[in-house]
This record gives sequence, structure tokens and C-alpha cells, in this order.
Amino acid sequence: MRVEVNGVRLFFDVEGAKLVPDGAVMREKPTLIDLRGCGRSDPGPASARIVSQWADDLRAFCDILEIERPIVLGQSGGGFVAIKYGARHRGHACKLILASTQARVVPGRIVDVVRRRSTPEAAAAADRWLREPDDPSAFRGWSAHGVPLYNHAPQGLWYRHSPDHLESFERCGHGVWRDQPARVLNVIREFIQS
Amino acid sequence: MRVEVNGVRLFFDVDGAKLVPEGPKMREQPTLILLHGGPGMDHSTYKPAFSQFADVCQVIYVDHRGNGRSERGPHEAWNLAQWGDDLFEFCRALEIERPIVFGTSFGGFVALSYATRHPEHPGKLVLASTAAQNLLPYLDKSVALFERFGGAEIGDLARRHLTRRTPETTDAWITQALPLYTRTRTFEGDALARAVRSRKVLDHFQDGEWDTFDLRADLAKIACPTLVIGGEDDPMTPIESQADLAAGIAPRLVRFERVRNAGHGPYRDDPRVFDVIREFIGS
Repeated sequence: MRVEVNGVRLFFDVEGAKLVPDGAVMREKPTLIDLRGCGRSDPGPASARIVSQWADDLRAFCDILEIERPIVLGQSGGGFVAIKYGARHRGHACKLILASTQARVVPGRIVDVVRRRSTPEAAAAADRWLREPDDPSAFRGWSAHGVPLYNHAPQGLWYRHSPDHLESFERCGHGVWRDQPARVLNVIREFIQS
Repeated sequence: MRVEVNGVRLFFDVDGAKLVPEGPKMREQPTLILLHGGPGMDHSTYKPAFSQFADVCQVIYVDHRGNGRSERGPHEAWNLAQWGDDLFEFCRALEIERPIVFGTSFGGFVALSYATRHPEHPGKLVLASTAAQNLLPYLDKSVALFERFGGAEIGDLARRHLTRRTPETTDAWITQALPLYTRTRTFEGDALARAVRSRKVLDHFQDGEWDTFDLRADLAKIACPTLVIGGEDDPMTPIESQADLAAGIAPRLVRFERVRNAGHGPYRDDPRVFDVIREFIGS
């Protein structure tokens, strides 16, 4: 499904009903939404592809569909959006889950990890991409050297090569549940129900 | 969730994803939209049984305007044309294309209104325990079946309620006749208690279109594969009403399934009906 939010049509998908039969009542389950990057949503103007706009889109999306007190899970770039949404719309989310994300990108930290886990050549590619994120060849270097390091377990990564869209971040497969699914998914489940 | 459609906010719920991972791509599942009966009932009558289709479809439950958790809107808009148009606009608002629309009883009237007013829109139709016209032509069949399952007193109640309805016959109907709709007595206890019910919309429909609506002339407009299902022991919408409905749809598009020893919404009495529905969805 897609729905119009702040002038663009956002794609969303749903799994699991909100209301489930429980004896004589319909029990309400909390909402766990996943905005699924921007793949099937309208592109909208490039100037609006900024974290604060995505955060406001999330809030407006909830208002349009009357989703109240959602549990918002953001991973990596999705986490940037979740953090911004949590700060700009305090009191709206019931819970936040921030996975494999950060409040601020520290390039040195990323380059250090790449150097430790790979080669000096890979570290140079990481450094270049972090300095020139809009350069397609720099992004290709990161894709070749950095992305394979995202997970210990092999992943069928399916992010798209679109260095001109920051959305590509959200397609990356470094969610911790990919490496330790049972343990991490249990932690999330427990937090949702707590 | 609720979304604004034609000036009212309609409640909907969802089971199962539209896109599921399959090798290097995301496979698209069809969308199955469930239209509840009544009017005055709500989508909960399809839960939990219909969530079983979430493995092959994205299942969407909707409360019609004036019903359940949807907004009431003006009473003048409580009519089949509007309910049919609401479904079409609901799909447009959420970009749902070529849905499989499933209606039981009153939900089937709405499905027929939608499919005849917007024939290019549905992918498939499933019409269960419903009719293309008001049920007065089937009165004697109906009374005989209520008498068979509930005794002479209920047969008499049926004749009075279906011809000279009053608030008193409606009260008696809900407590005494409704449980006889199915052989397994699904319309009582928790299943009824869970529904958000509206007597106002029921009364409004019963006092108006219930006795007058007739979509038979429009059936020829239906342009998608259609499954008509009925229970041979359905006292509310006797099986003859589904036979007549099926006969009005182009033979190359329609399939008619009669279910023995089953009542209103035959899947409630015979779970094998779910297999028939599943096969039709996948065909």
C-alpha cells in the first residue's frame, strides 16, 4: 500500500493484525512499523531528502493512519530518522528501538574498524567515501571494500547502487540480528512486551 | 488504522505482508479484502479464521461506513451505492490494485455494488451466502428452514420479522434467530461479544434498502472471476438466492459451490470451504 504524506506517496507494508480475538474482547497489539526505506515511495524533491523531513513524514504518516504510540524500530540510517523523530515529536512514540545506528557519524571510528578487519586499501576506500559521500566512484569503493564487512555471517545483500540517494544507507545489512538472530530477536521481543 | 475515504474515516486492519522475500526479489502477494455482514456487525467476525490466508495474500479487514470502528457519517449515505463507492475509494487512497474482494451476506451486497459500479477494479470476487436482490422471493424457503432448526415459534418469528419488521421482532431476531444462522452456532457468546455492533445502521438498512435493493440487471457488468458459495442449510440467505446470483453472472467467469450441511457463511460450519477459497485465490 502507499498513502500520501506531506506531498509524497509513501510505501508501507504490514504484517500482523492490530486487533486480535481474545475471548470476549478484541485485544490491541502495539504497532511495529517499518518504513522500508524509500524504494517504492515517491522520490519527492531532492532538497526534502533530509533526516528532519523523514522524521516529520513518520509523524504525519502515523497521524494520517491514526497510528498512536507506535514502537519505532530504526536500523542504521533508519535509526537516524527514528532519533530525529523521537526528539522532534516527544511523547508520540511508545518505544524506540535503535539498532546499528549512531547519533553522530564519526568517520575515524569507521576507518579504524575497517583497517582492523581488512586491509589498508579498504581503509583508504572507507576514508575516501566518508569524505566524498556523493561521489559515485567513492561509493563503489565502499561497496567493494566496506559493505562485505557489515556482517560476520554471509548475507544476501540487495541494496541498490544509488549513491545520489542517501536512502541507500537503509538497505545495508548490518543489523545485528543478521549475525545473531535468535538472541537479538528475543531481546527485541522482550522489549516490545515490557 | 483508519484512513479518510469519501469524507469519513474507515477502520481497517491487516494480516500478512504484501511483499515477501523470494531469492533475489520481493514477491508480490495479492490483496484479499474482507467485507463483513450485518450491517451493524464488524470485521471481527472474520477473525481469527481468515488470518490463515496471510501466507498467500495480504488480508485486509474493513469496517464499512457506519459500522464497527469506522466513522458513522450522515445517515443518508448509508446505502449500497455509497458503501460500494467507499470500497473503491479506499483502494485508491491506499493504492490497492486488483483486489480479491470477499463479501459474506450484507458484505456480499456491498461487494456486488462495488463490482457492478467499478467493474474494471476487482481482480476476483468471492460472494458467500449473499444475494443479488432483496430476499423476499425466498421468504417461504427461509421460514421453512428456521422452522426446521428452531421449531414452529422461530418459523413464525421469521415470517413476522421478514415481512412486518418491528423493533420487538428485531430484538427477538438477534437473540433467537441469529444463533440458528449456522449449524455450529457461531453467532453467540464471545464471537458476538467481540464485535462492535451498531443497531442504528441495522435499523436504517432494514427499514430501507433491505426490502428493495435489486442488482440483478447489473450482474452482467461483472468482469472478473467470481466464486459464489452457499450453504444448503442457510435459513437467512437460502441457497436458491446464491443459485440465482450465480446464474446472473457470465458462465465463463463464475463458479458456484453448494456446501451440504452448512449454514450462513458455510466456512463457519465446514472448514473444507477454506480449501475451496484458497484454491480460487491461487487459480
